[in-house]
Amino acid sequence: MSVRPIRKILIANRGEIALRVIRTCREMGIRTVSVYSAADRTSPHVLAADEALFIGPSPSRESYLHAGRLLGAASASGADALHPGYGFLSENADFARRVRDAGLVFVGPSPETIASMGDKTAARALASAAGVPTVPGTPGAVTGEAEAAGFCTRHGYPVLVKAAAGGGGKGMRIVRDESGLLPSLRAAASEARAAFGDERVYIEKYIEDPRHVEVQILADSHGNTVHLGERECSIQRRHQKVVEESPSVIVDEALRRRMGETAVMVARACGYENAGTVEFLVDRDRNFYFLEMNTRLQVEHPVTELRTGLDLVALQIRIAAGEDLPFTQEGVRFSGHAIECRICAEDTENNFLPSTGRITHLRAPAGPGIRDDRGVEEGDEVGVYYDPMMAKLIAWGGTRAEAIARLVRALREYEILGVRTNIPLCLFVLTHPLFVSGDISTHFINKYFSPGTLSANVPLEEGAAAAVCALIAREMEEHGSPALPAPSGHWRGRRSDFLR
Amino acid sequence: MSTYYVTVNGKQLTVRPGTDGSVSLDGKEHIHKVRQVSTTEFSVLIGTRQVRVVASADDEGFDVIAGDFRGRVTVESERGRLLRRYARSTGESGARLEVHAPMPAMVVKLEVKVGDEVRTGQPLIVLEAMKMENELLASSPGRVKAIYATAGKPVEKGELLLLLE
Repeated sequence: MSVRPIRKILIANRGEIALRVIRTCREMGIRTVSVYSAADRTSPHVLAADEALFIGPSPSRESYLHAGRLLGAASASGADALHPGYGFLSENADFARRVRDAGLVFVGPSPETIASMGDKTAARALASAAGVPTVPGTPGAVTGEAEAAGFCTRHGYPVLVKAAAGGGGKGMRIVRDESGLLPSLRAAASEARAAFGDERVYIEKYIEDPRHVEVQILADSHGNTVHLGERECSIQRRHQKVVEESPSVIVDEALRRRMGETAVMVARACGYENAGTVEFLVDRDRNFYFLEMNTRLQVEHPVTELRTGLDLVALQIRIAAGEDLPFTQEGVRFSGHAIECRICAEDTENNFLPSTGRITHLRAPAGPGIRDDRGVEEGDEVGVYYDPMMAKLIAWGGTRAEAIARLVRALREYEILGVRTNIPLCLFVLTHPLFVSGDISTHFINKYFSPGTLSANVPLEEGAAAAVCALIAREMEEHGSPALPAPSGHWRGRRSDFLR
Repeated sequence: MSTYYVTVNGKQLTVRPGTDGSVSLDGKEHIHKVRQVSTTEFSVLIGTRQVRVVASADDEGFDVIAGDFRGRVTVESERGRLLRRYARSTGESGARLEVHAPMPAMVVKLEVKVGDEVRTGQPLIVLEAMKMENELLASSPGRVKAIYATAGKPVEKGELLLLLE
């Protein structure tokens, strides 16, 4: 493939990731085209772009998920490439194919690769065939009780019985010993029949307290594939990552090499080109199992950027243009420790309900080692149409302790009012002794967090200060000046003596 | 001297501002020297201890950050409280508990039906907003008196969904 210069990119996304891509394009001298829905006419990703095109009403399926309108915008703008960001249509093989057929460069892997990794069961089969370890499981639905018992004897307890047609935890049972197997099989089958009209179940080895560790890879169109180390993303809530870091405390140099080589193997097996992520589950004994491959830029890519000093978006664009990777595996240098928190509009104290509204006040953190990738500004409306993630706050430190200290400091500096945020949850995690010691698993938040732990420690003086200021703010609002008692002669304009 | 009832993340404080910059909190005198920096920003000196406070009003109260504290603050004057008590005592007898939609959303599922006894924390209604399903939980025990929400139908923020008694 020859080098095909990219001069103008349409970003088929919104929010922080659209801004992230725009920033790199600016540095590379590439013109940027943003697309926007009705709700986004003045959103930051539009205000930052060189060109902007309307693509439809606010609901995603009529705008950011509407392939036809995105392709129409791309051809109208004369862009030579399209960057899909993450989410929306970024892992839609049909969309990638239509972009290619329209004569544009899709900044990502080929539609064939996206399709082969998109079917999660097929992806595991492909990885397994390439010699990559996967979580041991029955090859298909269990045909009888004898087969089930045989599997469990071979691989040991605990096991997980799962509905073949499943999802959402329905028809799922953890079995800890032999006596529980048959009752669980029957219960899971009947639950599966009720929920999905399909009573088939399969069995998988249950990984206790697993950790989620993923490996970033980069592959060019000339056969060069490298990995950029791991990211640990075990801190999750309802399968959504909240805190991500690199390196993982459980990955040493030898394991990093093995996991990296395995990730490269997966990438080669599916003919991967561009940036991608291979996700693994890691058990207590540091065995790792292939979960799936994400065929796009990840939300948490800045963690890897801070640790390697590379710009992943720039590399994506250069690879898409047909250039060689500018370094080999030996040329990848790691330095220090990076941690990211996802800042979301949700009410931590109230069952994490999404919080909508206008951002009435926003003051972002700054200072040493801090990066704030944000998609909203003060005055912006956080609506119901899109993902509640407003920003990613990432800290780099020479050591993990320094990175944690910086991130905690920056989270405390971060002021967002008008919508509730999950900053209290992020602070809870980062200051928890078990997180600090690195003793975490994907169950961490479920196990240790309850909203009560937050309200229980409101510092008295801060609470009182909050009360007094709210009182003044209310008086200002109702009367235009604080109607608090003021001795004569001490009244200064609109300020009462209460204000000093 | 006026009295205000302030709740800070659910905890109630009685606040009586003095005429000399002092303030009485739950009957104890404190000196709070407050400087307003902008419409939303304040600096409070408690002795020499400085606390930065930002507060922004909405329909129900204030969103406040004060040092390491983040949360909700509501303010009620003595007169406001009397009015509210009066309104309550002349209203329907028996405890009522209204469940409102906390945000514009789609009703996915009703977890209870009229007449069901519910306990605190029991899921009542599943709403979908921002791509996520959210359970509305009972904040006190009771019996479902009426349901106004319909599965599959959108609801507006603040809309009455369910009545407990």
